[in-house]
Amino acid sequence: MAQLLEVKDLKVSFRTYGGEVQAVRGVSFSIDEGETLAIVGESGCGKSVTAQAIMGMVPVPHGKVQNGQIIFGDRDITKLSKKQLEQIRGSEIGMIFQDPMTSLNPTMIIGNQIREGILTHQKLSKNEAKKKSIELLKLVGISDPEKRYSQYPHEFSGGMRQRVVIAIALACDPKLIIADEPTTALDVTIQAQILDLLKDIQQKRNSSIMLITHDLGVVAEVADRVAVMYAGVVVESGTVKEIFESPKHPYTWGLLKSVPNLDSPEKERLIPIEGSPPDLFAPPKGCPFASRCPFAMEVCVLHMPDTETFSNHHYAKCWLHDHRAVKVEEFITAGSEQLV
Amino acid sequence: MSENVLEIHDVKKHFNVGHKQVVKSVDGISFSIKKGETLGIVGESGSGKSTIGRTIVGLYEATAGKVVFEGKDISKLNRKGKREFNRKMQMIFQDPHASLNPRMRVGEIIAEGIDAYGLAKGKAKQDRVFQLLERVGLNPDHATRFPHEFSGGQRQRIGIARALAVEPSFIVADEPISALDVSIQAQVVNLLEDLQKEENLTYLFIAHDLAMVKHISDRIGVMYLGKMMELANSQTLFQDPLHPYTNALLSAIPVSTPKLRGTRERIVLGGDPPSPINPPSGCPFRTRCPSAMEHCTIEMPEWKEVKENHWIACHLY
Repeated sequence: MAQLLEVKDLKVSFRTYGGEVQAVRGVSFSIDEGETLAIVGESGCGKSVTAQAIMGMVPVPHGKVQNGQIIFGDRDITKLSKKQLEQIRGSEIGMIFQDPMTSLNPTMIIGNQIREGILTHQKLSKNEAKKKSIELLKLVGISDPEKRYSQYPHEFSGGMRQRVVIAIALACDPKLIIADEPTTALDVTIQAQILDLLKDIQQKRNSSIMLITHDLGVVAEVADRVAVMYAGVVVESGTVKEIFESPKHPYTWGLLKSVPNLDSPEKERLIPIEGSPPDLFAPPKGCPFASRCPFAMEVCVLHMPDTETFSNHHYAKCWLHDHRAVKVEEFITAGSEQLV
Repeated sequence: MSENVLEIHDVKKHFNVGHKQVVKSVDGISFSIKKGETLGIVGESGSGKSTIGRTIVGLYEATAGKVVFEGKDISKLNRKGKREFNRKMQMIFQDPHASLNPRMRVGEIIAEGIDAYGLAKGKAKQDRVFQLLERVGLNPDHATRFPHEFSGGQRQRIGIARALAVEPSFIVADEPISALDVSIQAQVVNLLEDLQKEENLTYLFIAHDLAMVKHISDRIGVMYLGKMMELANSQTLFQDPLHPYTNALLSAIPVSTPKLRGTRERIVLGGDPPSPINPPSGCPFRTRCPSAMEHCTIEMPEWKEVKENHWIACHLY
């Protein structure tokens, strides 16, 4: 498959009263056409800021892309002018936000909110755009779209509003859809509907999805590949199968272990990751996970580990897999065993 | 272990929303909780799960029905009895950011209840605050800090310490972990479990994360639009659910590993939950129920025990 997006060594920081926050500290990944990449991590790990950088929406003047390239098609997004960015946003990259309650304009009928994007990016008359908007509403599963077209957001339920947000994101047939926690604010039955909808649309249109989430269940359900982020760094990435079945990074082990297993008949004690994520005002010199890692060695605190490669897609940043590490096999098996 | 600490009988809580409209948030719910047990309540937003929790704690006064705590109807308690009830029944809230007073120091927040009930004074009070902070995994030095200096997980620990300060026997936890990150959720759940064992606490655990509710609860109740649909042992409920709504709800849980993708037969519910202002006649779930019958539109099914300890409200059974 052809590559659609490549992010290379992206660094984003924010100036605040407390000093400089290094939110994203050298992130690299790529997305192929028609693929779903899930970015997983806790709040503050930089997953949303990465998405903002791809959309060219890092808030100015406090935020700044310090380093790196974002290659979308044949252009580098970090080098585009404001005007060029506006042409890409909404037409080639669509965005689905977390909170359907605040991402729609409450004073505009939803039809006009969908039509707005179409009119900006495509040479269609108002009537043609209206027709297209109604088709989009139908596509995302809203019944009676003609009537719904002229209703306001408050007349829609949360799940319906998220469908409208998806319709807006799809309005100009984007090649890439960035979905930032699209189901977090929704109930589990509605979440299932929205995930099915996203999968369905992806199959129909062969678009790529970058799905940002903290819910491993959602990842297991829809992702092709996964990038696990921690403290502004991608600590592990691989196919969904590799991440769930042979994870290599202790943080991934911890994440997988800390959710209860629905299928186990016995009541097991959860194994949490002790401690809390590091302060990104002064990020640690070594591995950011070292202070919470049960397998941490001296070197972990001192030096950032290199990227170790396990297969075509599977990478992890961890000293345990360095050839110089002692008793590495024992460590790794110890971690994996607890997983089962 | 076998006596019921809490029994609620046909409790209703209706809210007047103006224009002569009434929201029946909780509409006739009965259940009981044994000492030392954890009862989980699940349901979608708007199902009334938080309202039932708040009614039990006494933050809301029930419109109809009885809440019986340790054998006494809480609406009939005298001043002294009410005060004692308020001490024994504590609550942990969802949002650790909104539920702590930002202008009070952590030590003051925790000591407030101790002062109100005169449980300890001076040095003894301070020792008790330090001991509580240590118990919930914080440092005694934290007592002089303000809530904004803490992370979400730490704030939730402060909320737990505050609830424990007055030596309660029953805790209503309303979505205590939904606002926390995955790796922190497990820490808080383990803490709640440890405390339950040590202090012999009884929990009412309200949440929408089904996997976590299953993990922590002995029994689980499923609510839909103000009504209890099914109540059973948590293993039974997950392995052998009877109510069509429970079935649909469980089938919507995302799979735990990609290997199982597509193995779970998903029951897709059409549409959205109806508005609680104008609920459907008969069974509230009938508008989305795959096995709805004509009879369902006429009459709300009776709340009955179909198997031992397995309660359900459905005309199918």
